[in-house]
Amino acid sequence: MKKDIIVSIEGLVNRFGKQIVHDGVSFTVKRGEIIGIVGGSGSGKSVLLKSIVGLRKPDAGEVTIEGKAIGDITPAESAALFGVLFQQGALFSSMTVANNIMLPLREHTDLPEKEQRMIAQLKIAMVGLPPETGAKYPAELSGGMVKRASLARALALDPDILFLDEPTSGLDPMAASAFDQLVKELNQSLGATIVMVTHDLDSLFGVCDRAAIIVDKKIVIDTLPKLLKNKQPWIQEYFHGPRGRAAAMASKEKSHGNG
Amino acid sequence: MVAAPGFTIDTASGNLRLRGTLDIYHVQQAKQQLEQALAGNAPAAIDISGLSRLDTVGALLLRQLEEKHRIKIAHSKPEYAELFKLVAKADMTLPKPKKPKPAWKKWLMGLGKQTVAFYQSAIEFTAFLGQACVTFSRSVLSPKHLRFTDIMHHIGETGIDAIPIITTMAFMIAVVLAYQGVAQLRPLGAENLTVNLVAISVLREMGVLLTAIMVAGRSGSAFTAQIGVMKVREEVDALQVIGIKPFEVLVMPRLIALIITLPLLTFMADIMGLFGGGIMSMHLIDIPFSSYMERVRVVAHGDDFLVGMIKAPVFAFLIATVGCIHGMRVSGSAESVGRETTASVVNAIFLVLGTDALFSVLFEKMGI
Repeated sequence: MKKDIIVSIEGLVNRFGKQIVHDGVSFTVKRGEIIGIVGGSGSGKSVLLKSIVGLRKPDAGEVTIEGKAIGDITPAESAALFGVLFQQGALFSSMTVANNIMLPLREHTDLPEKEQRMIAQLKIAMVGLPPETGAKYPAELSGGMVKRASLARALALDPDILFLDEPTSGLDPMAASAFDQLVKELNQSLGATIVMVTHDLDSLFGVCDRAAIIVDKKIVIDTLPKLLKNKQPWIQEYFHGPRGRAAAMASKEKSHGNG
Repeated sequence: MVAAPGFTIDTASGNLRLRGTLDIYHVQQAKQQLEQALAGNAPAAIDISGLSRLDTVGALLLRQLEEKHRIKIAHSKPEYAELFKLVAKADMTLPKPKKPKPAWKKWLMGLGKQTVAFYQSAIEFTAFLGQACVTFSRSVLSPKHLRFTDIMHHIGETGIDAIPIITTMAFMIAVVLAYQGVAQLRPLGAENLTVNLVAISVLREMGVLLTAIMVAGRSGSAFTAQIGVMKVREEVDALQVIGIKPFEVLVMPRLIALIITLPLLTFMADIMGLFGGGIMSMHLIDIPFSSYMERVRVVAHGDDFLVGMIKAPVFAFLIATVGCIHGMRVSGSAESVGRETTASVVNAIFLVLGTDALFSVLFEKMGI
C-alpha cells in the first residue's frame, strides 16, 4: 500500500487556439515520491500543473487524484487532498501571514480561533520562519520568506500532495538550497507526495526521485540516472550542457560523501 | 486494511489505544475524548500504533498531552518519530502583541498624518503645474518634443471613443430636466418656460459638468491605471534610464489630448442636450421643433454657451493632472494601482465640482 499511485494523468491534451502545448501527456505519480517537471521555456510546465490541479480544463484527457477524476472533487476535498505553492507565492496581500494560513482552516474546519492560531504558528515554525512572521503582511517579507509563508499556507490542512510551481525561482543560491532541504524534510516527515515544476537543475538533482520532462508535447518520465543515459537530443542537451553536468556532478559527489 | 472512519479510544487494557484517524478534522473530538479518558486514573501510556492516519495537528495534540499529563506516547512507526521530531522542533513562542494606542491618540495621529499628506499633495500639485508649464513651453519651441502620434492616440481614446456615451447621457439629462421643469411649472401656468430652463441649464452647467464627471470616471481613471501599471513594471524607470523624460512622454500627451477633447465633447453634449429638450417639448408642451429652436435662440445668449465652454479646458486640465499625479504616485505593488485609481476619480470629481462652484461665484460677480 506504500507505493500505490496517487495521481494519474491520461492522454492530456492542451491547446491555445491552433497551438498545441500538450499532445497526449500520460504519467503517474506514486505516493510519497518527489517528481520534478522540467522542460524548455514555453513548453507548458505551468499549464500542465494547472490542468492537474483543476484550474484549467484540458481539451482532452483525464486527471485522477486518489482515484477520483479532478472534475468530481469538491472544493473541500481538494483542499484536504492537495496544496499548491504558486510561483509568486499568491499570498493574500490584505491579510497577515498567520491569517493567510488560517483562511483554509477557518473555511474547512470548525476549530476554535485559538487552536487555529496555534496551528498557523506551528506551520510557520515548520517551514523555518521565525515566530514573529505571523503578524507581518506579505509586503513586508523578502522573496524567500514569501515562498516559505506560501508553503505554510499550502500545508495548512496537512494535504497528501503538494504542487510547487518553480519554488526556487527568484531565490539566491543559498535560499534556494535551503528551500530544497525544506522540501526534502517535509517529504520525509509528513510523507507528502511532491510534484514540482522547476527550472533549477540543482534542486532537480538534489531532491527529486524522478523527473518528468516535456519534450515534443509529450512527457518522458524516469529516474535521473536513466534520464542521463537517454538518447533523445533535447534531453541529451539538457542534461549534458555545462549546467546540467555541473549539477549532476555535484549531486553525485554529495551522495558519495553521504554513502 | 481499510482505514476506519472517525476516531476511537480503546481503554480495555491498561493503556489507551487510539484507532482511526487523528488529523485536523478529528482533532477537536479527539481532544475531548482524550482529556476525559485521562481525567480518571491515569494510564501508563497512549498507544498510537493503531492509528491509520496522523498529521501534524494530531501530533501536536499528543505532544501537548504528553507534557501536561506526563504520559508516554508509544508507537512503532518510524514516520511517526519523524513527525514528532518535526513538531517538537517547532518554536511556537508568540511574540507579545504591542499595546494598542488609546483612541484619542490614534485620532490625533491620524489628523496629523492627513494634514501633512494634504500639505504634501498641495506642493506636489504646484510642482506638477510648474513642470507642465515648462514642458509645454519647451515643446512649443521645439515641436519635435510634442509627441504628435501619442497625442492623437489619446485623443482617440479619450474623445472619439467617448462620443456615444457622452451624447446618450446628455440626451437623457435633458429628458429628465424637461420632465421636472414641466411638472413644477405647469401649476403656475408657465410650462412654456421649460424651454428656458432646459436650454440655459444645459448650456451653462449640465453639459460641461456631466461631461467632465463622465470623462473623469472614464479617462482620468484610465490615465492613473496606465501610468500606474507602467510604474509597477519599472517601465517609467526604464524611460528615465534611456534618457526620455517620463513627464514628456506620459503626462504631456494625455494633458494636451484631454484639453482638446473635453471642450469638443462638451460641445456635443450641449447639442444633444438641446436636441433632447426639443424632443421633450414636442411631447410635453406641444411646441413644434422649429418654434422650439426659435425660442432657444431668443432665451439663450452666446454668453450662456461660452460660460459653459470656457470651463471645459479648465476641467480637462484638472482631470488629466489629477489622473497623472496619482499614476505617478503608484509604488511597487499592484494594489496601490487600485487605491490610486479610486483616489484619482474621487479627487478629480471633487475638484471639478469645487472649481465649478468658484466659476459660478465669479460669473455672478461679473454679471454674466
